[in-house]
Amino acid sequence: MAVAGAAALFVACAPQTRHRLLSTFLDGVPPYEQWLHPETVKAPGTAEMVAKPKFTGPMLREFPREGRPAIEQLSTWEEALAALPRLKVPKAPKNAADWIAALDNKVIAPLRSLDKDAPPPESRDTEVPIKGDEGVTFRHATHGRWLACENCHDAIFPKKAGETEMTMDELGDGKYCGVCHGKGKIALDLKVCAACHAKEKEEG
Amino acid sequence: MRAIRPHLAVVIAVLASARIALGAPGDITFERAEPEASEVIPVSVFSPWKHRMRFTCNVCHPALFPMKSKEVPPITMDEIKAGKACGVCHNGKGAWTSSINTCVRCHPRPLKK
Repeated sequence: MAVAGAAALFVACAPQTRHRLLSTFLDGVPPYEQWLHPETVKAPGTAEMVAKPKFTGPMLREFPREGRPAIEQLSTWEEALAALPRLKVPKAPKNAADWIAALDNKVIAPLRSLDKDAPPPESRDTEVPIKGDEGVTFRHATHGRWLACENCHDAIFPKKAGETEMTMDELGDGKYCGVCHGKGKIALDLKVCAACHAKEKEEG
Repeated sequence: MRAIRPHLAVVIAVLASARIALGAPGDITFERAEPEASEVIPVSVFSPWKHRMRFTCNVCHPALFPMKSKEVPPITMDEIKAGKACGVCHNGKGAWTSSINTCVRCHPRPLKK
């Protein structure tokens, strides 16, 4: 009788109260909006992240601690700048480090996946002449040391080689190469002209 | 003249260090939905250089985070604690987890006064 009464009271409650009661006594009750409309309402501003898990690969539970390069002990960029010459990492222009050289010198040994058993991502080593500018060549081999196909294709560049026409202004606006290359970006500054605009003959 | 030189050296050293202290190339300072909250907890900064020496770009991009920082969906501490976004690794197992001792690692005190 008491149980039936409590159940009747519970049903008669406003939904907010019911949700509060449920959350008090049970674990794992979704937030109110989602609990009320589980199909239609997603957490505000986080629709994508709630809708599907963004991360599909298995997680590396423990990152290897043994045998990792010494540079990983650094915690500030000031420390890094002081340590890079000692570690034989050349400086790149614009206060950046030459990470390709760091990779060559094995100063860094970045993992290619969170899953330690995963094969390295697919790569190719074709060279793509850039349309409209003689002597500018995109090298898959260099970029493939950091990236996988899906980083650029097809969201940033179509897969068909050499089809993309671009201008330096567009790059400066953060398009094409400018997604990663530019002022304050992770990869080499666009003002380092010679990195791309070097005539191959002059390079030898 | 002699007395001036050390002072100049100090000034140059201070200027140089101030320039470096602005952050590493590629550092991403996040935008806050509620800017007034920044008075309590400084806005977070992501340092790609710390991550790129441990992982290549493709580990997190584009499956976990879009390539363009402007396209990254809002990240909340609740999501991180639920093992999403940064919390995929920063969960106390893969990498250090968010706690009262680690706030400043992502929410550094702004350098400008």
